[in-house]
Amino acid sequence: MRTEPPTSAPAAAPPVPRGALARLLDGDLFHSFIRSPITVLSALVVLAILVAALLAPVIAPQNPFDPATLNLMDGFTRPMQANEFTGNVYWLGTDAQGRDLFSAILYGSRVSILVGFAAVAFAAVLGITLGLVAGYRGGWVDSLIMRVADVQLSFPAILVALLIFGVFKGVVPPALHDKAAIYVLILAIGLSDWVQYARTVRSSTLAERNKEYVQAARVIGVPAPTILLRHILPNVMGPVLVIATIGLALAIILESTLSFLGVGVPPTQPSLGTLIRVGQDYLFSGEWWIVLFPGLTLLLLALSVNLLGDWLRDALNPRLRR
Amino acid sequence: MNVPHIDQMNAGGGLPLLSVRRLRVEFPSRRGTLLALDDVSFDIARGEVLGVVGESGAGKSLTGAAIIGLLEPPGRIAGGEILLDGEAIHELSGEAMRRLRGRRIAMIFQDPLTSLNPLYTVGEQLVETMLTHLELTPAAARERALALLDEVGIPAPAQRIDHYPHQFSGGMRQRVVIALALCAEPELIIADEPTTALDVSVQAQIIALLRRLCRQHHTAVMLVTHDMGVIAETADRVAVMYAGRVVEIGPVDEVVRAPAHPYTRGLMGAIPVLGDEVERLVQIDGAMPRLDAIPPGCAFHPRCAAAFARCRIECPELQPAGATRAACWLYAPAEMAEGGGR
Amino acid sequence: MSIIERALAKAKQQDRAAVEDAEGLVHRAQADPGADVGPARGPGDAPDVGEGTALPATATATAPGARDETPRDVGPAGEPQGRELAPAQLPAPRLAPTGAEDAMASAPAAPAAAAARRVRDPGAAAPLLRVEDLRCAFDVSRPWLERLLAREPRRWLRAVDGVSFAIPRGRTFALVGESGCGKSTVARLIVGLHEPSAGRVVFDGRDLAEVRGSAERQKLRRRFQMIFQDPYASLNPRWRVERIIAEPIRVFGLEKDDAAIRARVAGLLGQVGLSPADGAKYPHEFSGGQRQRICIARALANRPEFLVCDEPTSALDVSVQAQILNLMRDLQDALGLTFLFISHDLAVVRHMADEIGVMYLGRIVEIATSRRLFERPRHPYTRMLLATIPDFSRRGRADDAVRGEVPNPITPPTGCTFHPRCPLADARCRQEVPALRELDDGGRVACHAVEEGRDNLEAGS
Repeated sequence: MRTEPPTSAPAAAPPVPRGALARLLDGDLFHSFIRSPITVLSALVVLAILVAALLAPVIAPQNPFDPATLNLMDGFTRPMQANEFTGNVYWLGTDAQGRDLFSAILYGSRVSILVGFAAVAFAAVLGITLGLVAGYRGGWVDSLIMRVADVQLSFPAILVALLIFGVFKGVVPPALHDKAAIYVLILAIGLSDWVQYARTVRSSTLAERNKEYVQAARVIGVPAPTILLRHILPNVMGPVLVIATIGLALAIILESTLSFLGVGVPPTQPSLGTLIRVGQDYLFSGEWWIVLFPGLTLLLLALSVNLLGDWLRDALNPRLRR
Repeated sequence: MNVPHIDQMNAGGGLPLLSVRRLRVEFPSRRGTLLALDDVSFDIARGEVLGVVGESGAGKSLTGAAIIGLLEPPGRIAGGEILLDGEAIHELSGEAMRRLRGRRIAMIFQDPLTSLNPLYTVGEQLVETMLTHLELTPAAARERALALLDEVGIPAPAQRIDHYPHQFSGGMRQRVVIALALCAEPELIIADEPTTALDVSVQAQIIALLRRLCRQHHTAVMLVTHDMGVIAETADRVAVMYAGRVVEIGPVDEVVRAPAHPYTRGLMGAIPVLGDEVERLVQIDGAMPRLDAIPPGCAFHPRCAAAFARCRIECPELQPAGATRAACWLYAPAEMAEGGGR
Repeated sequence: MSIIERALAKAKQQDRAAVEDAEGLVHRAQADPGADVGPARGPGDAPDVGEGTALPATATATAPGARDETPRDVGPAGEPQGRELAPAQLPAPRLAPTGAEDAMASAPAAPAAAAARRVRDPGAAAPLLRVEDLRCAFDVSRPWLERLLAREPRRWLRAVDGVSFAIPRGRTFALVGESGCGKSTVARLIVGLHEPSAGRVVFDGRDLAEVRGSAERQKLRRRFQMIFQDPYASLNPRWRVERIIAEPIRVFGLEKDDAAIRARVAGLLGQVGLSPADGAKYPHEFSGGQRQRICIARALANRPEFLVCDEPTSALDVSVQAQILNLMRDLQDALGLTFLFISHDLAVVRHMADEIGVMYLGRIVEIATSRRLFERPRHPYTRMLLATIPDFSRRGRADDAVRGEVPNPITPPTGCTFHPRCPLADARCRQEVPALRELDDGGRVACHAVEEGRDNLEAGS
């Protein structure tokens, strides 16, 4: 009565190995991306700004920070209008020195984005490491790290950054200020931002540490650093990705704020924040475009990155819960 | 297609309290529509305990959710009907369903903590439920709440009525949930794995309590569980589900003693029992198919030792098989069996 | 059967008297607001106080058809078989013995082991694992500052409180009990996931606490393995199956090159009834039963002699549970494995174990051979547990054979911790902790009533 062997059964869903791209395109993540027009738009905006910033030397009509290319006669040209003296037309107008604002924004975005990414990377590495150690070791190590994090959180990020800048100004000789400023900026933003990563990673680590696959590794004597790196880290990266995206927007804004306050990048290498600071001097004399366009760019960039982060959080969440 | 004479074995005859007819539940997804329940039919008579048993993913909890109108979107009833006392309730509006819920059909969930609001005392929750559904004065409701807590075996109910859920142990909490389910005197209680989260010694007490109370209050129960032991001790009749269908239904004693469907037979043989010392347990090889990969014909055929050609093509309906009814071609009347198969 | 039934009836009568009292006590204890850490739920890294038996809601069956080579046991078509006819007669497929395991004279080779199992007579063989007066307490105090403000002392949860047993080579010893009884903590103590507060774990004559040096420790670790309860949590979701199974091989350096590792992984997959091609998949592509097979393959990867199985089937559906239990017994017979089997399910334990220890609130209250325990349960708690097992031959069970709940393990009752639920408890039980005493039938019971002959079991039978 025994008919055929059961091997005829699993005919459905053959496990054909597919390429990573095919899997991605078929994945839930991609699907939820495509179904959200705002997200697609945000991604396009971010992509456009990134590409434009990257290719600034190619795209920009002039190098705005090479004094040789500037013509003082072009100063205060209104957007899309011919200059009354030279007859030159600039899309977004010029500033007091006759600098093309479009070019300035492209170059400024470069600095802003560079600082943003670097600061996020620095904060993430620091925060993830401390979070993993705190969550896995527990006990006094955990208490120490998390208390430091608490103290850090009780200061506004901007104050922390200002403090670090103050120390830097006091310690480093003035000759090096301009050169090192950008690194200090990255350090300052990174140090003011690691706490979120540490907290998130710590709580995920606490959850993963008690899962049986980690215990199974402990039973056979896998050393703790290996467990952290190979087993736990890949499983806590989901939430980190979300924080990092939103953190990128925050870092870019923080950089601009610091530059606006005059403690950021030097005017020789201006970022969006520097442009805004310079531009606001002319706001009340009627030259509104000098502050408006860098400001809009910053807004667009930060908003788009934030929207991407929000989508990522929502898209990853049900998967994590499942 | 002949009119399905579904389940003539309900106690007493007359109109069944709950009648589920050819219920179909779908989950539309972007990879196609998943058929989670297909052609599910059964009756529950007044005061009867129907056990619904199956492995995880068989659709047993979904059946309960569909009856009480709590299908999680995007799940939807795509066909068939649910009749409560002859009245179609699957088409009721959200508001009408809400009035029905708790009043005529109550629900008991697996985890007692999630069915109780941690911010209110158990007394407040009982009184509120009663005031919503019954015409009682608050004082009378509290009086009734006390009596109910006493009835479900809470010691010193006069003090415990003012305690919060977290002050009760797991078993006591489930007793409170049972009191909550009973407090509006519903006609039907749907109990979804009511004992799964509890310790074995507490399980036994809760089952005994549920059985006793429902008998006293003449409440019908649909007992959803994966545990055949719970069914054997509590239910009058049992429906065995597999891959979204009822594969066997009949009186508990018969199904336990002489299961007809090969799946039920395997299921019963797989349970280790104390009496006999066997070297090996009966095992059904493989696993239940996923909803997106339900094989054609009888969904059980790839795991069935008795499967023959017809099983791979045609899906069997419930048909008389000894003292029970089984959805299996083995029990097809000879004149219906095309070519005999074997 | 009849003896059990009589025991049930007996317990039913006796329980009736003491019930009100017992329940009251238990629930006053549990409702004690001070002691309210929730019913037996510790902090984050808590001990095993809450072994949930809940099935994961997502436990949908996967992949059509596991590749089992085992013959199908469903009766022949056309003649519906009752469960009485359950085909135990079918020859169990035996896996090829890999042999070479029997270092000790008494260690039986595969066929002998199978024979010994049928006799179910532990003893004779020298113990592979011995546990002596094992204790483990967890600090469940509130944080230091809160404790200081509330003027509270430190609080300890004595998860394991003086547990001793021995497991002969090639046999299965089971620990049964309800949540919070400490059975999983014992398992974790043995494999080194927790440090014991006191007591010894002696493996093959060596005290594990005295093994110094990581190389020595790894040498010993190579010889035992653990299988966990939840097959959904015990496989790293980001790793491919072959990497998961190869992990022990790599950690212990058992194979030189990747090709050898791959061959060994393929062999292991075949051994547990999966196909070598499954190695390239991720865990989420498998059903619960298949995942547990992967866990078993991983546990066998370093050729252990001793396996700790912590509720290996309680997250699985019953038909899949049968597959896994059969597989484990086949592997035991083929490889001469020794099992410590942890479960809350008495029927499963009855099926698997040669000897059984019943635990209640951190202590073993009764140890006996499987047969003796089920035919003549002595401890009132054992009898109560037996009364919870559904009996398919008889509908409806005594309403009040079983009473009360496990008390909060942080504030256990005085004396015999079972006394609030025990129909036989008297003043002595409330004050004095009973010791585990040997009975004339070879079992051991920790009960004053049994010692004094108040348990009345004989009169009923």
